[in-house]
Amino acid sequence: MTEAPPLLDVEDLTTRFYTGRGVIGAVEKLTFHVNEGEAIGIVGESGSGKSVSALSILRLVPMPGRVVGGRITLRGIDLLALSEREMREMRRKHIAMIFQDPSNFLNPIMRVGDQIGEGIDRRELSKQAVARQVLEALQAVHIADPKRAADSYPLQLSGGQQQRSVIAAALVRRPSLIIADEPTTALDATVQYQILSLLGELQTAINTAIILISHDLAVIASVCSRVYVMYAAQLVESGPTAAVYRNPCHPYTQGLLGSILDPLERKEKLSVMAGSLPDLAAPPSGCRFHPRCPQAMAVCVAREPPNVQVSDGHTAKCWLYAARGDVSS
Amino acid sequence: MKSGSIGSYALWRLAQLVPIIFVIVIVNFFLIRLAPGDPIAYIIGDAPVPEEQIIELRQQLGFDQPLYRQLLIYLGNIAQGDFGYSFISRAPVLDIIVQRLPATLLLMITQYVAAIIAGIMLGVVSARRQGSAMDAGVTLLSVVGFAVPVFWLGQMLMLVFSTQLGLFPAQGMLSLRYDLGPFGKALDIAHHLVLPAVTLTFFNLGLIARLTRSNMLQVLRLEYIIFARSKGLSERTVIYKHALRNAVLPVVTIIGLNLRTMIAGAVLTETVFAWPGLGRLTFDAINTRDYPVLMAMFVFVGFVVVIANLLTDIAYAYLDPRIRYK
Amino acid sequence: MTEGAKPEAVVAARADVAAIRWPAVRRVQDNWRRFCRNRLALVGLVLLVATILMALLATAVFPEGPFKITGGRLTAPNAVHWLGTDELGRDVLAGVLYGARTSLMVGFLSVFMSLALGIVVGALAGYYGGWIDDALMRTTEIFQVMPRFFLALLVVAMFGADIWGIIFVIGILNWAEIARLLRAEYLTLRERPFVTAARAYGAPNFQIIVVEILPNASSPIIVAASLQVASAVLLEASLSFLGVGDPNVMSWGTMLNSAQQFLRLAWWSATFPGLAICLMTLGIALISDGLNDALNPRLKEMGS
Repeated sequence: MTEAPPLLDVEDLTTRFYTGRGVIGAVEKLTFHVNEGEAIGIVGESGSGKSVSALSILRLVPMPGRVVGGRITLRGIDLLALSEREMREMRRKHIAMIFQDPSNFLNPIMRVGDQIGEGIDRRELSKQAVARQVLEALQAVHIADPKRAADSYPLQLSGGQQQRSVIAAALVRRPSLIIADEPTTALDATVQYQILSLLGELQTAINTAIILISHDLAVIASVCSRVYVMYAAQLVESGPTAAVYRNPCHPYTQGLLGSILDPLERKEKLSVMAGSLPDLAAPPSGCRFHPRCPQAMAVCVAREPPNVQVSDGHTAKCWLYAARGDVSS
Repeated sequence: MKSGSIGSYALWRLAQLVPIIFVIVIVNFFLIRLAPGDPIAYIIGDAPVPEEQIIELRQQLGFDQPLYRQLLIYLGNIAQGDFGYSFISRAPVLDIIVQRLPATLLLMITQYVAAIIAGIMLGVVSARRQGSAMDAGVTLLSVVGFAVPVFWLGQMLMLVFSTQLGLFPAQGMLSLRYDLGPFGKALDIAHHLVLPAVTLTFFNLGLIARLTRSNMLQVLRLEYIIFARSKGLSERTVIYKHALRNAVLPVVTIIGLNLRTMIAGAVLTETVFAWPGLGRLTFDAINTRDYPVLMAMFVFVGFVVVIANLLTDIAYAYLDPRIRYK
Repeated sequence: MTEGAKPEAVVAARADVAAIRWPAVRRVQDNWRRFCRNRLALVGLVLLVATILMALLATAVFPEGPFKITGGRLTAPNAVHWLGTDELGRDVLAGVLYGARTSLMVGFLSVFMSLALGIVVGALAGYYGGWIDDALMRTTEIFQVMPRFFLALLVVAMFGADIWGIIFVIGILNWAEIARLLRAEYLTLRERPFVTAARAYGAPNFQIIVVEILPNASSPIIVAASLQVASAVLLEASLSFLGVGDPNVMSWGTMLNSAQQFLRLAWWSATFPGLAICLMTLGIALISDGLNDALNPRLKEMGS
């Protein structure tokens, strides 16, 4: 089956931080892709490299970090090869990012309307036209009383309203890709659902692709058709959401799913994963998960496992499956 | 007035002003009474005043009455602007102060404007090029600006640029020429203004540059800068529209706190350059032990600093909505 | 709690307290090492040592004192008078060396005084809180609100210009800053577990204030105090320059005062004393910066 070329193609992305205490490998050979209009999820614990991957795509990794390897292609254009000015064009027109805690990411001393409007290309538009677009964007994200919201300062809005404003700021540029880094984590549970459904709504409305990053599996499940699981800077499992959730292959994914409380299911004991995240400056040998893996074998300590194709579109980076099936990388 | 408006904040700060001024004035009051010698001497000096007048003065100021009465009389006088009479010129002190004020204002405003502009620019540049030679230079400059005595700097500048190079006049505000029209006069004043203003600007510059730099460094690490960049805004917009606006806020407050030091600096600089302002007035008053003038300057400066702090706080509240909407 | 009985938890906490006390010593060594790595700070140290040397050499090189007239008036630097003579014929170099003594004395003694006052007030206010805190803080506010320079001018002019008086006045003006800083530290530190533990095994308040908390609270006041030394020197020089310095003591400021009239004729009478002030205050300011960096290390992020 011939597939349309992906909107965003990330190959072997590697990002490192060069600190006084040593080199920290935040993202290690990450490979994924997003098709036009598709919503994919990247899931993992904090520190697994999810946010840094997002920032790497936008080339906004803060110092002392740097993208040191890989290719990022947006509709055929190699993002890592662009000049800073060209990259800014990309950010302005094609990729938008939504961040975790909107109260930190909005400039506290600028009015919200101004912050939304400044992403718009003002060269051909009058002030009123820009203002109108801002209001339209605020309406599209379902903010009550958009005029008042536009005139307010961020601290006058609730968390949910702030996040909606950030989404509006993304909307207004009509991007082809929205990267949402933990957009709901800082919000109340009720508001979370609203924001997520808003994202889904926008996805269909303007046919934007979405990369949703979260540690919360439920959040990912509600929006994304495919999911990538990250652990310790590496991709450990990927595939259609339904398939991965119903049949998690990598022991880490199994652990993640096993620790979800299902109110309808009575469990004897809550399954908890032992241990904690490895030190990314000195990761474990072989498979990085082996110290915490209940099914670890001798080979897991010695050699890094390959990415194995477990079924159609479903891969896992684990020795357990290397014997059977295709080894895809 | 709705809460969160600048008006209510201004009123609140204004109300805090009163006790502070009160304290300054009280200290002034007690200073005379505590100093060695007859308090009346601090009011009339050693001018030959006939005995009856002295007695009358004592009565007027209430020296023969209990302390609280004296205080009331004193406060009443101050409120009416009566600060006594200068020993030397025999003119009301308040008049003298008002007369000398413009020269000092000119000097202070010039140096503040120059120091703020130059300081902020240097701070921004050194923050953007952190770790470079320029950055180290700016940091060193700010330390030097603190350490160098301002009056010595003035003297050295005068030596080099006036005595040696003859570029600028050494003293005074105006040349003694009668043939200058108003424009010529303005130029003449400006010509005389350069050296003292440069001295004070240098004195002030280091602090502002350093503060701007450290604030910029902090702000540039903050998340909303990443957000601004992610919108594809030009680097210049990010720096000047987002980062600088936030980084500059504390500078506004510092200016208010700095005023005290700058006034002291003005006293010293005006002395060096014989600039006919309040600073030179203070120096002359010290030499002649003209106490009414000195004491009035004390109260005046205290008052000015408090007002300046009030204004800068209000300006800060205007610029930073977080303060208002608490 | 019964007398003498020590619950296990408290014993464990006591070990904690000891562990915190000893690190204070280790921290001093760490800080010193960090300080030494800072080149500018070392330069500052050199400058300060140079100033101290100048002060020590004064009596050795010029045993007759700086006020002796040893040459012609306003002679330029030459082989006999290395830095020239002033308008009365006194050797400028003698003035500079003796001036170093004055400045060092003023700087360190006045800060000693402001530290003594400030620490007592700040510690009491921060530790006990409540109305003691309120009362003491109102007092510091009164001192902070005054125009310091003019107050110093007035007081010295009225009460007489004596070097000890000047030291006293400067100390009085500076203590409020120390008190405020220390109070803030005490307010935070007194909630820490090591204080609760110390109280639990019966340490008297005095011991807690002085032995437990003070070493941990000292970094901001060390930095502030070092800066105050420099500003004290500058304030004394300014007062002397304006003519209210102690006439019996040789001070760099007074030298600049007399130099002012003869500036055109004798550049050396102003340049050298002023240069001396610069070097001393620059040295102290660099040391202060170095102390600040050493005691409050921030993560310096290097671009690769």
